[in-house]
Order: sequence, then structure tokens, then C-alpha cells
Amino acid sequence: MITQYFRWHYGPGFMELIYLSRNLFSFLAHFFSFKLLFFSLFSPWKKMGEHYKRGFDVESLISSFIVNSIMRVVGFFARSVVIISGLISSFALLVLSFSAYILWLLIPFVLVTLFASSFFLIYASVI
Amino acid sequence: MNFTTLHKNIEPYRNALFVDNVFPKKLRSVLRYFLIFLTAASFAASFIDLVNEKYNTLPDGLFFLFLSLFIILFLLECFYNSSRFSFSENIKVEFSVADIVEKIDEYDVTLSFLNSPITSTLLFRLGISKEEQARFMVGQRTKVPSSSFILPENAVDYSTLAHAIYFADKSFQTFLSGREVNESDYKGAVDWVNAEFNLSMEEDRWWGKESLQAIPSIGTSLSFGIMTELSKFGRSIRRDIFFHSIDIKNKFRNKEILQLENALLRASEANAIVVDNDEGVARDIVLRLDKKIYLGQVHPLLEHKNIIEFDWPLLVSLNKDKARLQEEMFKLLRECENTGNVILYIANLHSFILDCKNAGINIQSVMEECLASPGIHVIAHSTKTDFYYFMELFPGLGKLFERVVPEEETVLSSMPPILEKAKLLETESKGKIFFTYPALAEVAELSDKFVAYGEMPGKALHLMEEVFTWGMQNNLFSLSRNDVSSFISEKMGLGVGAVSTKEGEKLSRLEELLHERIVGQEEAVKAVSSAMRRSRAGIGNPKRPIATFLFLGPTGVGKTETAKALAESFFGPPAGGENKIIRFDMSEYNGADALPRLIGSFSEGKIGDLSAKLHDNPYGVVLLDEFEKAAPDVHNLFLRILDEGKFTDAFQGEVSARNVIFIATSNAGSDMIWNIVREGKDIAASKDAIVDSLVEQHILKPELINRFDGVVLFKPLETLELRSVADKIFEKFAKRLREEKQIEIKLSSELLDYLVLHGADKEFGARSINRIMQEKIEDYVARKILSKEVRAGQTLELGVRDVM
Repeated sequence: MITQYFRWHYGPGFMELIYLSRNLFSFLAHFFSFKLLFFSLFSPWKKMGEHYKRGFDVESLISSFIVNSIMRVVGFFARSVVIISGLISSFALLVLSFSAYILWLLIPFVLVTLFASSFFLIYASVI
Repeated sequence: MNFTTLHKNIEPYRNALFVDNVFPKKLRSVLRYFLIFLTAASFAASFIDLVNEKYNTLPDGLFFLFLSLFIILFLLECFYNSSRFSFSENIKVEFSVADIVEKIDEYDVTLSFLNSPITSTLLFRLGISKEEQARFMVGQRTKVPSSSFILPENAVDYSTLAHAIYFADKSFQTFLSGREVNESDYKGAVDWVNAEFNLSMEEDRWWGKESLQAIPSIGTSLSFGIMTELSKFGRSIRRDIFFHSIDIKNKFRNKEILQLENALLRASEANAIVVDNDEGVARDIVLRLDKKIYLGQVHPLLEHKNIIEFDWPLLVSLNKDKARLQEEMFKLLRECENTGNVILYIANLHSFILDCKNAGINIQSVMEECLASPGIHVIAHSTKTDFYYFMELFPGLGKLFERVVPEEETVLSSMPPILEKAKLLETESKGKIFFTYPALAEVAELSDKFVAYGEMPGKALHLMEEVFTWGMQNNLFSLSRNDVSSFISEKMGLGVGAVSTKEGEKLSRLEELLHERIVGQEEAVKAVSSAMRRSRAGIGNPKRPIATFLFLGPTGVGKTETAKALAESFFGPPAGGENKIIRFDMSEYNGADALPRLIGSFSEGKIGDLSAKLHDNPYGVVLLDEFEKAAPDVHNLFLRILDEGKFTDAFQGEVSARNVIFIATSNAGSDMIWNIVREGKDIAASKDAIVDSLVEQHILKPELINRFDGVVLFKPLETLELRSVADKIFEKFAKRLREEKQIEIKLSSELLDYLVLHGADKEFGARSINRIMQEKIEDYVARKILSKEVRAGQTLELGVRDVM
């Protein structure tokens, strides 16, 4: 059984770890809706804004333009914050994934070390 | 594929099966939590030591030890899961099957099957106790060896294996049928348990792509508009309690969902209207579509959409002002467009528009203007009649909607939502009460049969709730088929489910019971008794009324009395006996308005007499007196009712008449019956001639006569029979007097003979006896009471001289 385990650990198990991180990356893309946010990056915040009135009224034209521009800027910032958070999370996941891969490969040795240390410490403190 | 090949095919699961065998899953789980606790505790102790500048202490050692043990358990779980979920990648044998195959007893496959955890759940859902299961397993039975099985080549799931065992092992089949589990129950329960098992497997696999994609995203809300009006007058349909119980894998209403999706994907006028008399049907379809959207299993253009249910009664009640309501509606529809991800669901659209119209508000013009816009998506609902009426009234608005007409569901096709609802109710009860599959199948069958109004599965779901509450009140743990039939018998006062010994006895001597009220008329009594027995034994046609009879004969021979006696004995207490008679004098339904009076009138908004009475009293005897005098339209209506046991009322609602006995009476042909009797011939032998004469005289159409289960001829009563009638009438009168006035009355036998001899008129049968009894006896007693010659507690004896 132990042989079976090690064969799995360094074979299909490692591949599944890669599969898991791939799933998590696509989850982050879905969770932060990157595609949707990129396409609507400059849209007004919550689609709020003023309609341009008919006729040539400079004052209302400028007022609507300013309001709409502000809404777009707010929208851009809010979406940017989410996109950046998503990118940071993705980067963190990337780092974690690589760490996990390395840890996965080394875990048998880590376990041996942990066990050895634990026995040594328990023995030392009891004696 | 045989079991040897199957055994080889479960190779990828072997690691998981091995882990499960040596280290059961529950124990692993407990140990994991325990180690988390120990690791955290030792870490805390170690940290305290560190703060106190103590190094390399016992907690440090323990922390490393517990951590390494936890890591080992974690890796073991990864190893286990990798093997357990390998089915999705490589082979098509389910894990539950692999578990059985791994421990297979080559000489007794059923034993291995019954020992598996999933089969324990299956037997529980079939209402079979562990004790019964154990008795069967150790009892005498034919063992089926693995070599006798041939399984499908490409895929073996639990359902396939369970069915194969059912058909191969006759003793298992007998064991199940002994517990009233038929093949259909078994198949349904197997599929249900298997689907639940697979669902729990999916839930365990939280890291799977599908599970992760089902988590709602945070980015979507930023890309869509804000809802101000919609948050005031609408709410997300996702809040419906039923939403999370929906399992889209069961493909229920898939066709209608697809139609909705296609309508919503149109470039413009992307609106749909679900036309069904039950709003619940439309709502269910919309909920299922929303679930697909939620799980991301829709066309990309429909992703992230949010279905908002429009609370139009609130909008109308808050905006009494015409202009304001129009403005609010306009704003709301524009908001749907601006937000960019809203699908508006309007239940009972016809009522909304007509309510506004009655208040003088032209709401349809606002809707017409907005709904053509490509950015607005509306799913509406309307009943069938209202939809056509509304299409005629507002053709412009009607054209903006793609029509979706849901298919009628049968008992079998209604099972998926019933199972979903069972899960919801069981979850709500926090595991206090469970449904067995036969109980749910019984709910479906009996609701279809006995609930007159509504559609499947709506009426079954409603009945389920009632059964569930009843079960909770009676502290039941699992609801069986018998529980359901007991509840329905109690609620409806009808004999359903298994026939009890007492009821069986009553049915077998029904003739005798009927004769307690009916004198003579052997043929009639026999015909109705046989029909009743057939119905109760469950061998009658469920798609027709319980029984339909045409009683022909002169007046006063017991036609109406037979109907009453039948109501009393078949729908007897606690159902209400004679109260279960719905009586129609059909001579009143012979005008031009006869049909609307019976089935209702949509234009006048009036419910028909027949619809209303069947709605209030769906089980009983419908007595149609003087049937031949009804209008031809009415006869045509009964052509369908007698044939199919249902009819469509003026509001396009289907009214069931399958739980009633129709008795149509007619005096037509009486002259002929009299002549036959006078000639001393047997009237039963002349039945065809009598019926033919009715057809020739255009009194009743032959196709209508043929629709009746039986045409029963009532012969005129002979003197001896009239004497018995007099006895019965007197007994009734004496009983009434005893109970109400506490006066005993005794009649000499000579007096009754005298009354029959001098008062009976064979032409009017029992009616003449009734009349003479009233004239002579009741009148005499009344005088005595008024003159206080007789008082409560006294006995009054009457002889011939007293009434002469």
C-alpha cells in the first residue's frame, strides 16, 4: 500500500494538484468577473448618469457631461479596485501553487523531519 | 459484461475502497478534527513557553507530532479522494457499485448488495426496516450467483446493478412485493437514492470546476446598474425557499426552459409568456431557468442575469394616481433596461393589465413601448382563457411575447419535483420525519385521482405539505404508503389505499345494505353493487368516473332512493352519507343558458353550478334527475364527462369528475315498461327495445346512452313490494316521532294492509304510499299532538278504525 501511495504521490497525485490550482485560477477569474469588468471598465458607476437633453443648452450639456464623466471615473476606480484585488489574489494563488508543488514533492522528507524533531523534543523534555 | 470483468474495471477505485475498509471514513473525519484541536492546543502551549523564554519543551514536541499526524491524515484523504473521484476521468462504473463489487460474495450477490450502505438507504426509502432486512438476509431464499448476471458493456451505475439484481433474484422480488413495493416503486426509489448519492459525492468534491463556478461572483454587481425602483417593487426569485432544492439534472420542464431561453435570446422583443392555468407551473419553470443561470449552465448571453419577480399589486396599491402609476411603470421598465442584467417576471399579467384598465390606466401602452426594446427581458404568466382574451383586447402587446405552453404532467413525470419537495420538507423538519418513496408515489397517484381542481404536480405538492404536517402532528418518523392513504381517507372521507377487513365485508354485502332502503329492483341493486366493488378493488378505469348509470323507470319505483342508499353505503359516515349527493333537476337546464349555468360564463365571471358543486364536493353521487329533459348542449357536455371523467369549465380550468358516481334518472320509456309489465313479459329481456324506442323518439342520443356503464330498468312495484315500502316509510316516521317528540307509535298490520290496498297507486309507486301515509297517519298523529291527547313518553296505537 505504501508503494502504491508513493507511486500516486509523485504521479497522478501531483497532476491533480496542478489540476486543482488550474480550477482555482478559473474560479478567481469567475469570482472577480475579470472579463465582464474589463469590458465595462469605463462604464458609469452602477450605470448611473444623466441623459443629454434635446436642444442646444450649454449649461445642461456641460452639467450632464460632468455628471456622466464623474460616474465613469467612479466606475473605473471601483472596477479597477476589484480587478487589482483579483490580480493580487491570482498572484498569491500562483505563489501558493508553486509553494504547494514544492511542498508536495518534499512532504515525505518534511514528515520524516517533523517526526524526528517531535520524538527528539518529547524525549528530551521527558528525560 | 460479467462480474469478473466488472471486478477488473473497478481498479481505479481500489485504493479508496482499501482505505475505507481499514480506516472507515467517519473515524477518519473524527480523528482529523481531533488532531486539529490537539495541534492548535499544543501550538498555543508552545507559544506560551516561547513567550516565557522556554525552548525545546514538551508542547513543541507534541505540536510537531500532532502536526505530522494531521498531515498524514490529510495526505491519506487526498489519496482516498483521488481514487474515489476517478470515475469522472477514466471509467464508467460508479463508486457505489465498486463498493459492492469489491466485497461481492460470488454465490450470493444479493447479500453483498444488501450489505452496502447505499442499499440500506434504499431499503429505508422503500419503508423496509432493518429488522425486516435482517430477517430476509438470514431467512430461506434462493441465492443468485454472480455468474448468472450479464451487465451492460460500457457503463454500470447503481441503478443498473439494482435492477439486474431485482430481476435475477425472485426471492428478493417476493420479499419486496410482500411489503407492497412494486417494480415501479423499486425503480423510482433506486433512481432517487442513486441521484442523492451522486449529489452528495459532488458536494464533497468542492474543488471541482462545477462546484467552484456555482459560487456567486463579486464582480458582476459592479458591471450592472443599480436597482432603485426594482428593489421597491420586486424581489429576486432566487429567494424562493424552493430554489435551492431544485435539481436541474432531473431535466424536469427542460423543454419549456429551453423555449424560454430561446425567447430571451432574441435580438428584440425578447419576452416570453407562460400560458398555464396554474401560476405555480410558470413560477416553477422560471425558478428552474434561474437555477441554470445561477449554476452558469446557460447561453453566455444569459449569464449573470437576475430574475426579479415584479410585485405589481404593491405598485398598483401605492400609486392610485393614473399618471403616477404610468410614470412609475415606465421608470421600472427603463430600469430593467439600464441595469442590463434583469429579467422581469410578471405573474398574472392579465390581472395586472385588467386591474389597471378598470382603474382607467392604460398600462399596456407603456408596456408596448418598452417591451419592444432589445434591452428589456420580461417573462410573464397568464391563464389560458385570460391570455386569449387579452390577445384579442391588446393584440399589439400580445405580439411582443413568445408563447410557451407547458405540457401537462402525468403522475410519473411529476415525480422529480415531488422528490425535490420531499428533500426540502425533510430538511425543514431537521431530520425528524422522512418520506418513503412508495408514500410519495401514493401522494402523486391519489392527488391526481382525488384532487378535482388544479394540475399535476401542483396538487401533489400541496397534498404533500398536508401529509407532512399531519405526520409531524402524529409524531411519525417515516411516512409510508399506508400513512398517506390513511390521511387521505381521513381528509376526504373516502375509502382509498388498502381495503380494511371491515370495509371489505361491507362491500361484499353491499346488496344487502342497499336493500335495507330499496325494495325489489334486484337488477339495479346488483349493477350498482358490482360497479362499486370494481372501483374499490382498483380495477375500474381511473380515467373515468367511478360509475355511471342511467336509471329508467316510472315514478316512485326507487330510482332516487337507490342513489341515496348508494351515497349512504359507499360514501357513508364519516364522509357524510346522504350529504354526498349532488342533485340536479335537469329539467331546469333546458334553455339556451343551460350550458353556461352548468360550466360557468367567462364574460359574466360566473362559476357554473356543476363546476362549483364538484369543486366543493369532489367525491359523492351526482344525481341527474329527469336527465332527458336537459338541453342538447348539456347532453353533449355529458358525452365528455361520462367518457373522460372531466370537463373544461368556462375559465379553461379542467374539472375532474372521476371520483363521483353519476346517476341519471329518467321517466322516459315508462309507458313501454308499463305495457311490458302488463303483458307479463320480463322487462330485462325488453331492455334493448326500450332503449331503441328512446333513440327513435330522439329523447336520448345513442352515443350518450352508450357512454353509461349501465342502463338499469326499474320495474313498477307490485302490491307486496308496496307493502314493504309502507313498512319502511312507517319505520322512518316512527323513528322521527320517537326521537323528536318522545312518542311511541304502533301500527297494526291490518292498518298497513288497508293503507296499501286503498291508497296505493301502482302508477305512482312508493310516492302514493308516502302520500297516503301523510294523509292518514301523520295527519292523525298531528291532531292528537295538537289536542294534547298524546304527550311525550306515551304510546299511540293505531288501528284501521282510527283512520277510516
